[in-house]
Amino acid sequence: MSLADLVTVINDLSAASQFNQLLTHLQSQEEMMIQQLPQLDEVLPALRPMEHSLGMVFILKAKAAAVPLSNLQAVHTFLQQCRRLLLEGDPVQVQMVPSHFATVCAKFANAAVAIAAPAAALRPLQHAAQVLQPSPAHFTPVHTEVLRVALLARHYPAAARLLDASDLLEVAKEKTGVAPRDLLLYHYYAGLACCGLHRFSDAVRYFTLCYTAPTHVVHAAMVEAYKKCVLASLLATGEQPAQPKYTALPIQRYIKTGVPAYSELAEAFATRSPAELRSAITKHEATFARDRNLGLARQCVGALVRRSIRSLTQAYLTLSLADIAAAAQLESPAEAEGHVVAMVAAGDISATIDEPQGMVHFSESADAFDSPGAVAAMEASISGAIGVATKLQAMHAQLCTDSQYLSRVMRERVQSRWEDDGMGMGK
Amino acid sequence: MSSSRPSSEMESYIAAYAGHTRLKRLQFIAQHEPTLRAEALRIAVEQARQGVNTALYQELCATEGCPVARDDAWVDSVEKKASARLDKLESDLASHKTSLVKESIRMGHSDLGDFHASRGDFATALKCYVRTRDYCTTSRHTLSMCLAVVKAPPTTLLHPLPPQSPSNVSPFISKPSPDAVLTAQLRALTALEAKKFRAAARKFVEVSVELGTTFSEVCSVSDVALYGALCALAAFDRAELSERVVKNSAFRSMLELYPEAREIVHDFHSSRYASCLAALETLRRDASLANVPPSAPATRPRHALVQYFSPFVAVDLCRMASAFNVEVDSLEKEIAALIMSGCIPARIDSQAKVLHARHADQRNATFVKALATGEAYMRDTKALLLRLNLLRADFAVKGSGDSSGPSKSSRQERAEARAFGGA
Repeated sequence: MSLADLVTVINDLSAASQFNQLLTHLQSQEEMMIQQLPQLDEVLPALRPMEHSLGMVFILKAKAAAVPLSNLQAVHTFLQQCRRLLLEGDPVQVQMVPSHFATVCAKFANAAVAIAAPAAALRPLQHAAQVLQPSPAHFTPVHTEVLRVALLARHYPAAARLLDASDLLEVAKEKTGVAPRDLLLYHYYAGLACCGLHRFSDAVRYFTLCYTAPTHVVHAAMVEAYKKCVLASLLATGEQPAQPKYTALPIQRYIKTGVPAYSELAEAFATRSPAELRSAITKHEATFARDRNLGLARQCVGALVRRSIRSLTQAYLTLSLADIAAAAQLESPAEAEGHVVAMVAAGDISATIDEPQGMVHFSESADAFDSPGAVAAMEASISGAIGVATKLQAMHAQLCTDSQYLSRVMRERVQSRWEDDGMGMGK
Repeated sequence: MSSSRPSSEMESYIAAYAGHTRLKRLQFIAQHEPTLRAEALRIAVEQARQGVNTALYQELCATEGCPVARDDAWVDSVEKKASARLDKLESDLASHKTSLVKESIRMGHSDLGDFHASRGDFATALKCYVRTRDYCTTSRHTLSMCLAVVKAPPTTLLHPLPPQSPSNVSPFISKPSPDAVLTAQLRALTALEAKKFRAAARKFVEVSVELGTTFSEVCSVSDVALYGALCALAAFDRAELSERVVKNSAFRSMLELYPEAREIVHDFHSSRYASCLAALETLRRDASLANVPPSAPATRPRHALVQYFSPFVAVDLCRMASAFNVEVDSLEKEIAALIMSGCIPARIDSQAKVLHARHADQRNATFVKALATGEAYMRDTKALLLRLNLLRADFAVKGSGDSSGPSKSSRQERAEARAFGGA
């Protein structure tokens, strides 16, 4: 069978919407496509992504394995061909072959990275992720690729848009071809993107999701996620991250001793002394630099000073700059003044500085929750919580009628009744 | 001991103690009071010669300024007798053990413990007493075992106990026992050893004067009054203090035995902090307080500060400082620490040195708390939903074999994961 015949078959069966038959046919022809690689380029323009998604996925999958990333010309052609499919593909056809489609997307992302144009891959991949999703709550491997590309392009807002758009809570191996590792990397990348946007509490959330995932082994991504989680948590709350009870045992064991540099940093932070923190950072500078965490670690010093000053605002109405410098262990009143000015500008605290007397007057936080914005935020929060509760209810209902669950519960109940009887007879 | 105390007062002080504690108190006086040293050492050496504790005797005689010469012949003879007695006790115990009579074994261990205690080897004595535990058959036996354990280290009041002993004792004291006075005393001491001042205070105030001299080997009645008063100051708030200590007739008669402690409690209760603090300061030089201070003084002025501020809207820090007899700056720091830990709802005007009560904005606080709670709920629930879905789909990360997704080599991915680190 030649390629021309293949195109005819694709055309005919697609027009007749007999996708199952087409799928079987294409699966039998994969060998042939790989043998005729050079001719595949000529075939592709004849196919339209909307109608012939299935055929294009198979052809591009065959190509994906063979395109050399060093050959610029070949990479460009491949990117062009993929773009059409990713932007216009038909969800029904694409979801029939999730793992093939994911492979094409991964190769597409790698190709874009190879020619140093990750930003160009962003929009096609975003669309592809939606195409592959059976529902807006499903994870796909393409989501991971989107975040990776967005990070490499340093386009954090794009990543944030994806993260804020919906909560990905469902996994389906068969429908999306997603693997546990994709999930780990997704949360890891999500945390990185939030760090990039200085949304550290969100970063902590994503890193925590990464390192607490169910696991039997210690995965490199989980370790890296925990390291960054410590730093992000220090920046966000000033404390070590709270480890959920369900953290897998191998991970718990590993992080107890495996990341001494980060534990020491957190301990130094807890002493509330910038000098100790600085010395801890200097001591482990090589480790942090190797883990690419030096920038975050250095930010901790500033965060510590800001935290000390903020705690002063609770206790004092007025305080001299010299006293602030002493309490936050800064070198000079001028340095303290700089920090206070920066914090007021950032809206962290509300204060006024009396320059001639060298006094700072702190006032209570200004937000009185009496603006329309505050009401809207409150309502959004309430409806979010109700939404989550509904999901929980739905899952509860689903589990209650789950045959496996029911049979197990029944078995346990019967067993315990037997045990009760045994006790009764003993008496 | 305040330096002006004459020797007659020392005698009455010492008379309240017996046994090893008496020696130790005398030794302490000798070390801290140059004027009484000769007298104290003389009494101590006399006392020591009546016992068999040669190590302490030698130590006493070696102390600088000891008026009595060491009697080496006496030491030798006592040592010989002691080793003979030790051999006898041990062989007795061994024979009891072979005969398997529980009561005899208990007595054997107990005798051995008494022997070691009289020789001053309290660590070994403690071991012996704790061994009797397995052979106790009645609650009276258990109680006597507990008593022996508490008496064994008479260093209780001068040095912290070996850490294992309170934990050894406490589970057994909880059993009902016939002698209520002793039990209360035991509980109080164990709680004190474990630095649980609140529990200790409760138990101390339960002890009544009837204790008398039954416990003189460890401490006197006036000691109970002092420790009880101090622990109560450290742990109780004003209402509790008034109810349990000031209005407690049993404990009040106890306090009468130690006027200084009574004065401190009453000063504190009627808000005369300066004299209270000054009296405490003089007391702190006393021997018997060596164990109590570590955390008590840290908590006591805090109590006083919180109590002082409670009726005011605004307080002049200078006047407050004079009331507490401290520097304004150190007072300010202490109050700032209290505010940050949430003990005092107030803010300091450092420029005018005024402490203003803070009117908590309930509405604002409620909003903030509600939002935070909602966020935490959503975060946790989402994490759990995801986790449930993962577990249902059997989505755990296993070995490296199955973790690699389609057509991606995990090594390349890891390298890239590193590369993003600088974000």
